[in-house]
Amino acid sequence: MGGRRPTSVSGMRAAFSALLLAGCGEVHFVDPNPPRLFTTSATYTSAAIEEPVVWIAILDLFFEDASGCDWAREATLLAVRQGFAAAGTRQLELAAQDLSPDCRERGQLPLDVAGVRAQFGSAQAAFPGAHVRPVIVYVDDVDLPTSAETLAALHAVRSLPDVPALVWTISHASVSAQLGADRAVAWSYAGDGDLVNRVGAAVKTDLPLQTTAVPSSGPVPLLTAPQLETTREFKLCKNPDAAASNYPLVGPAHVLDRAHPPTITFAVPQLVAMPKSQFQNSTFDVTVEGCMANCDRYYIGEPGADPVRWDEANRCLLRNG
Amino acid sequence: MRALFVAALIAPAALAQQVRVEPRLFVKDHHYFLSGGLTWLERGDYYNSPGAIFSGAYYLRESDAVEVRAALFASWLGSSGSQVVNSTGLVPDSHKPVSLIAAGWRHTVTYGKVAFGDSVVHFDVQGGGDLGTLITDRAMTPAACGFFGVVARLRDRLYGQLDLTVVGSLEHRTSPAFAVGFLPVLTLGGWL
Repeated sequence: MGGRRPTSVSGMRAAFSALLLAGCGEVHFVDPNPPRLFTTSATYTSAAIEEPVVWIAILDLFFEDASGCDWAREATLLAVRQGFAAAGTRQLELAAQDLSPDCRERGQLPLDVAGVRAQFGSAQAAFPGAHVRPVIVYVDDVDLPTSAETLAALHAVRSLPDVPALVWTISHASVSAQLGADRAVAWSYAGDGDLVNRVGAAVKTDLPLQTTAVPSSGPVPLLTAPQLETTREFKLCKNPDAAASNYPLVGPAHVLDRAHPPTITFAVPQLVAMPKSQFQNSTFDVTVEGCMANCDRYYIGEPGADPVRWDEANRCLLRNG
Repeated sequence: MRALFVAALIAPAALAQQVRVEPRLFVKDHHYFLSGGLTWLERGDYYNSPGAIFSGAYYLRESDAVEVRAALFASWLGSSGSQVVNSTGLVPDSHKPVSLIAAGWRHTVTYGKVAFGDSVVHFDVQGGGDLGTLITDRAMTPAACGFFGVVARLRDRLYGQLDLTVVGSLEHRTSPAFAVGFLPVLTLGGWL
């Protein structure tokens, strides 16, 4: 019995508190015909288009036993080729460059910058209208910084008028860091069966490159077709994105002209040939408060709040508006 | 010595005077008490709510009865409420009382008598509580009453009843509200 008493006392306190919270009979004045409001939002999400995959391998391999040079070169190229196949879109493999043809000396031949650039030009011509951003796959099996000449040549071929080509390395970390690689794939040994998987994983992460489809959303309707049927007046609740245009003034009520439904146009930031991992579609939205009836009547946000005539308030009134 | 003599003379006269005790005339045990009268519901809801009320009680024993009450209100919006309605079109969110129906228990706290000139009024001081419904212009709302009052015998088979009642009801206004009001009740009736 001793244990019950505190429970019943706390129960009574809870009931008393509930009664107090219930308002204890406070009377508020309300509008018998309040404005019939709703909130909606006009949303636009930009789209992306996939760019063609254009890539070139630049090999710079060194082996003490140079007899396996051809085999190692072919095995490595095959792994890279199979890895790029994972991109699953239209692609073009440019003729590879080999800086150490007999694998005896790293950087034995200089990179043919003009030739590579010419290939880039051909690739652009092969995909008219597309934003071709080549991927340079630099393969180096030596855990030492590459030569200054090679480094300069790679920077030279990378520089393109619009967006720089991407540099991927299949190398030791020291080389990928030196080149500032956009993506680094670890080198292990010639003929490593897992290389194709590592390249494939990189390809799936970043390719195909993505470009914003259109720079403008075009006119986005602020009200849906069913809402146009029932809405008499509306307000735009908040200032939309600064680059938006062609929208009604934010705040005051607008009488709906069904012949010219309200719209807004969003400007979409342009992302050109971006790796998938860095690309994001842009989403814009703007909140609209609509009134279906009694738009000149009082809106009372919460019990006891000051009544406000909806069409005279230069702001949205619904709590979530 | 003189004082003792005087006292001896007075004492027999005093003892000879009869002490008269008014017998209990207001007997309620196993009787029906029926009455009707006027009331006013005041609960700060911007409505003026006078009404007619009917009450019936059956005494299970001298000090306890079961009772039913029914009140009918002629409510109208008061002047301050009307002013707001006329100037803004806003109306109070409180319900307009229409009637009250409740049943409960009535208990006699004490019995008393008061002399008025030549007559003596017998009365009970009573208290009790009822549960029922306050019917409004919008809903039947659950209601509870607690009261304290006097039931007085006015003459044979005629009695008067004055109850000071507190009424609480649960209304759905802008938000659910427990509305508390004051309901004085004055009735006249008879018993069987």
